[in-house]
Amino acid sequence: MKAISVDLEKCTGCRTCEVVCSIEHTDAVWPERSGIRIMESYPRVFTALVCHQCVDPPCVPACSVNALELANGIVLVNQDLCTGCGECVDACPYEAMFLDKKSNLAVKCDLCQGNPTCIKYCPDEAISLEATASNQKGGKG
Amino acid sequence: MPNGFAGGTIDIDLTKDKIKKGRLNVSEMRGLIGGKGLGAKILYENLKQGTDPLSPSNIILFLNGPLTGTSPACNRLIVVTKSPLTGTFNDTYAGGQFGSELKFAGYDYLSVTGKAAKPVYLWINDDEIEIRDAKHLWGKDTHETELKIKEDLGDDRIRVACIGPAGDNLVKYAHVNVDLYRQAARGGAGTVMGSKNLKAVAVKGTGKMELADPKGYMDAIAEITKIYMTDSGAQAFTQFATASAVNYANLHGLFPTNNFYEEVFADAENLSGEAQREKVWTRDTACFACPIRCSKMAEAKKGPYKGSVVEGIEYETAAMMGSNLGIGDLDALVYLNELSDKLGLDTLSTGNAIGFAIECYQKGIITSKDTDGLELKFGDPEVAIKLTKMIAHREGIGDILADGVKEVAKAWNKGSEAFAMEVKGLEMPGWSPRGSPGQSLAYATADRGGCHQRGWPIAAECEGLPSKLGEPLQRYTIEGKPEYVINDQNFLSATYATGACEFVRTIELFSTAEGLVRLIPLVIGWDMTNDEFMKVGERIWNLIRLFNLREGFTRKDDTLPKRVLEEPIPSGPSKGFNLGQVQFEEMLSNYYKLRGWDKKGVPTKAKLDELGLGQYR
Repeated sequence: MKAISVDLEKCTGCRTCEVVCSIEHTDAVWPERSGIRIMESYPRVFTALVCHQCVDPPCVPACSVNALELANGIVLVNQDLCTGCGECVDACPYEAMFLDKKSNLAVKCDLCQGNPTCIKYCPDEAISLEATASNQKGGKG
Repeated sequence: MPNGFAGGTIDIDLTKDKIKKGRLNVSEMRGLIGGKGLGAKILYENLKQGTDPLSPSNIILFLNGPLTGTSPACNRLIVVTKSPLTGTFNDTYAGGQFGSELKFAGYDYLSVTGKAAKPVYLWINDDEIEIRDAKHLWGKDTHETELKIKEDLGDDRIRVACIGPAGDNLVKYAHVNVDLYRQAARGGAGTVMGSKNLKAVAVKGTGKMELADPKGYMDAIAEITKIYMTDSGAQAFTQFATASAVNYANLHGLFPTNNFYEEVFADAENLSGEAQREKVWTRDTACFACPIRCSKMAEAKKGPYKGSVVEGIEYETAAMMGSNLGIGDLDALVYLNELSDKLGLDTLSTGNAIGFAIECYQKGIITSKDTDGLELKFGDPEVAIKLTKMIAHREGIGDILADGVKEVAKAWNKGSEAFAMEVKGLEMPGWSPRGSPGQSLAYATADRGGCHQRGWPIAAECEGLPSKLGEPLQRYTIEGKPEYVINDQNFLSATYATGACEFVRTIELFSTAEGLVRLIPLVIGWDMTNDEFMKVGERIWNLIRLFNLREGFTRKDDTLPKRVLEEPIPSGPSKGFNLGQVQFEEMLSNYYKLRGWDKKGVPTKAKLDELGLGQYR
C-alpha cells in the first residue's frame, strides 16, 4: 500500500497542501477539512500529519457507527454515518485522523483516487507517494 | 456566504469592555476591493480630525484582503491606524498565517478603539471572542508572549499578533510581531496597541473561505505555481530572498552607509543573500500558501553571538542595521535582528535612529554626557546592541531616540535636521534616494512617509528599463519619474487591497494588474479589467491623501532632508550627483499635475468626482 510522504527537509511550512486538499474535497479553502496538516513547533520546526494507510487500520474497528470503510486499502469516511464522536481520532497512532468539530465530521486523507492533489501543487516538491513505512499493522507505539 | 470575503466584522471598545460583531456589506466593496482600501475608508469615516494617535480614541484595524487565504502568497495581515510617528494614515503588513486565520475564523477585520483599564489580550476563537487578562504578559518579549498565550490556551495552531517591551513602553516605532517571525513593522502600529493596553490578539479559525470558481482557480494556480517554480527571477528570489538585492543596491550606489552619508559599503558582499546562504541560513520557510518562500531561518554560528536564531536577515535589516551602522558582521546582525524582533522594534527605524545618534556624536552635537559615557561609533555591533536595548526600555539616551529621528533632531537641533533621514517622521528604509530622483519622489509622496513599498522606480531607473509607459527611464533625470511613481503607487495600493504580498511581482504576470485581475474573478467573482484594478488603486491613494490633508499635511511636507536634496554624493557610481531643490520641486509639481491635484497637492473636485470620492470633499 502507498501513502503520502512529506520530506521535512524540503517542506517550508507554506500549507499550500492544506489549501488545495480542502478545495479538492469541499470546493472551498478550508484547512480544517484538509486530510493533510503541517504542524509547527518552536522555532519553525515542521511536522506533517497525514494518513499512513495502515494495512490493518485501528481507526476502522474503533468506529461504533461503522462510518469508516476500507476500500481498495484506503480508509474512507462515510459522511452520512459519521457522528463526529472522535473515537477514530483517539485510535489513530499517527494523529492523522482529524475532527471538524463544527460539522461533527472525521476528516482524513483519501489519496484523491490515486492522484493526490497535494503532490501536484506543492511548490517545494516535498510530497510524494511512497510505500508505507513497513506495511505494518496499525497500533499504538 | 460571500466569495473571497469572510463576511464578518468585529468592533471592540476596550474602554467600555464592549464587543460588537457585524456583517461586511460586500456589495459595496468593489470600488475599494478591501484590505488597504477598506482600512482607508473606515479610518477616514470614523477617526476625528486631530485625534492624538496614542489617545484611546485612535482606532487600530487588523484586516485581511478578499484574496487572503489563497495561493500565490495572498496571506497578508494589514494593520491600519493613525501613526504616532508621523500623524499620517498608516498601513503596515505582515505575512505568516495570522491574516488567513482571521479569515477562517469568519472575519474580514477586527477594529479596536478605547483603552483597557489594565493589560489585556484578545482571543478570537471562531465565533467566541474574549477580552482576557494580560498582566502576566506585560513586559515580556514577543516570543515569550506568543508562546505563553499558546500554552495558556493549549493549542499550537493559534496565531498571535503581539507587542514586545518597546510597544509596552510606547517607543514610537514599535512593531506588531506576527507568528513569531513576521512583523507589521512600520509607523508604530505596535505603539498604538501599547497605548490601548492591548498586548496581543490571538486567533483560531476553523471555518471556510468560499471561492467563486473553485475549478477555474485550481487550474490557474497549477499554472502560476509552475511559473514561480521555474522562472529565473523568482528562483533567484527563492534562493537569496530579499537579501538578493544587497549587491545590486551596492553596485548602483543606493546602499545607505553610515547614516546615508555614503551610498556604497565596503562589506556589502558579506551581507548578501549569497553570503547568508553560505554562512547563516539553516533552512527555507514560507508564509501561508506562498510559492515564493523568501523566508530563511538564520543562525549565528560563531563568536559572541553564536546560537542566536532569527528569520532573516532581510534586505531592509541588512541595510538599516548593517551598512547604515557600518556593520558587516553577519553573526552580529543575526543577533541584532533577533533582539529587535523580540523587543518589538522596527529594525528600519531603529537602525536609522541609531545611525543618526552616532553621526550627531561624531559631529559633537551630543557628547558622552548625553550617552551615559558610551562612545558612539559606526562599525561597532556592541554600540548598536546597547542602544537598541536602551531604546526599547526608554533608558538614558534611548528615551529620546524612542521618539523617532524627526523629534530627536528638533530636540538636539544644531543643524542635525539636515541629516535626520526621515520623511513626515517615518525613518527612511534601506534604499538611499540620493542617487535616484524617482525614489526621492516616491519617498516624498508616500502616504505614510519615508517608505519604499509605495513606489519603487529604482530598477527601472538603474537599468533604463522601459517604464511600461513608453520611453526607457534615464537614471539621473526627472523625466518620466512622476508617471512611473504614480503607476506604482496605484498598482501597489490595489495590490495591498487584495491581501496579496507585493513579492507576487517576482514573476512578470504579476508585475502588472494582469496577474491579480486573473485571480479576482475566480476567488471573488468580480470580472475586473486591468483599468478598473488600477482605478481602485488611484481611488485608495486619493482617499488617503484626503485623510492626510485633513490632518494638516501640506505640500511642504512632501519633501526630503537636505542630505538628499543638497549634499552631493561623496563616492560611488553617483559621485558628485545632487538632485537639487529646484529640480525636485519641478518633479513634484509635475507629479501633482498628473495626479489631478492642484499646486498645493490637493485633489481637484474634478478628480474626486471622477473617482467617485465627491462625498469626501
